[in-house]
Amino acid sequence: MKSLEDLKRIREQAQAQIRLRTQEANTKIIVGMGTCGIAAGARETLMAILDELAKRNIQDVVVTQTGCVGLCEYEPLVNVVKPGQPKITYMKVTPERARQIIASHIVNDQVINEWVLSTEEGV
Amino acid sequence: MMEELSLHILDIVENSINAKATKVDIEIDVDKRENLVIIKVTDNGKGMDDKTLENVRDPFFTTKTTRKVGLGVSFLDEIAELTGGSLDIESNLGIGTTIQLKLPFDHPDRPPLGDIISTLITLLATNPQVWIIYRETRNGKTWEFDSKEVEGLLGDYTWLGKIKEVLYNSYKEFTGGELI
Repeated sequence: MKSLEDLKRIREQAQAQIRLRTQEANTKIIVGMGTCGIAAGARETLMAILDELAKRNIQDVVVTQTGCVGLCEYEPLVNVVKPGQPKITYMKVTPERARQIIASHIVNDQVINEWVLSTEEGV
Repeated sequence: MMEELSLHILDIVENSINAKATKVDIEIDVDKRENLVIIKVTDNGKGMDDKTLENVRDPFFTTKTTRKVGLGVSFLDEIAELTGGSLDIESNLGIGTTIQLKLPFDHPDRPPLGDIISTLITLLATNPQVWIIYRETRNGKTWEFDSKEVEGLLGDYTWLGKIKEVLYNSYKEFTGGELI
C-alpha cells in the first residue's frame, strides 16, 4: 500500500468483513483530549492504544475522547469503562502505560491500582 | 505553547468538534520563497458570538466550566507574537469559524509542523462522524486527504492501522522526508 488511491481499494475489499464500531460495544476507553491533555502527550497515548488494540485484534472496544475535566496536572488521563464495573481513571498515561493498561485491564481484567487517580461507581 | 504545530492543529480541530462541527477543513500552505507557513482551519460549527470572539485570545477566558483558563487560542496568539506572524479569527454564529495562523517560515521560534499524520489518525479514530479534509501545499505541490475516502473503515482498529501506514507512506512521498 503506497498511495491514497489504495485506500479506496482497501475500502472496497473491506466492506464485506468490516465490523462497524457501535455504541453497544462492551468497553469504552476515553482519552482526555483537551489542550492540557494534548500538551501532556495524549495524542501519543491514543496512538499507542490504537496500535495495541490493532495488534491484539481487539474490536469490541470503543475509543473515544473527552475535553478537559479540570485535572490538568494529571494528564494524560484515560478512563476505562467496562460493563458492570466502576469507571477507572488512570493518570499520567504515557504510551508505555497505555499499552500495559490494554494488556492488564482490557484483556485480563486486572486494574493497575498504582496509576489509578479515581474510581467512580455506577457509571 | 506546544512542541509541534500539528498538536496545535489537533487542539483547534478539537475546539471545532466541541462546537458541533460536522466538517473541518485544514489547509497548510508552506511557501519558502515568500517565507511563510499558513495554517487555516475552517469549520461549520456553531460559531462564536461577538463577546466570545473578542475574548477568545485571553488565557483567562474560557467557555468551559471545569477550569478558569482557556489556553488553546492564546497559545497560537503567543506563537504569532513571538515570531512576528499573525492570527486571524473569523466567526459567524450558526455558520462556523475560520482560524488562520500566518508564521514566518525561517523564524527560530516557529514550532515545526511535526507529526501531522498522528493528528489526522487521532481525529479519525475518536471522531469518525466528522468529515475532515486536509490539504497541504509546499511550494506549489499539494497533498490531500479526505476522510470520506476511508468512511466505513474507522471502527476497526486493524484497518485504522493500515490507513495510518498508507498515509505515512503517501505523505513521506510528498514531503520527500523533508521536516519543516
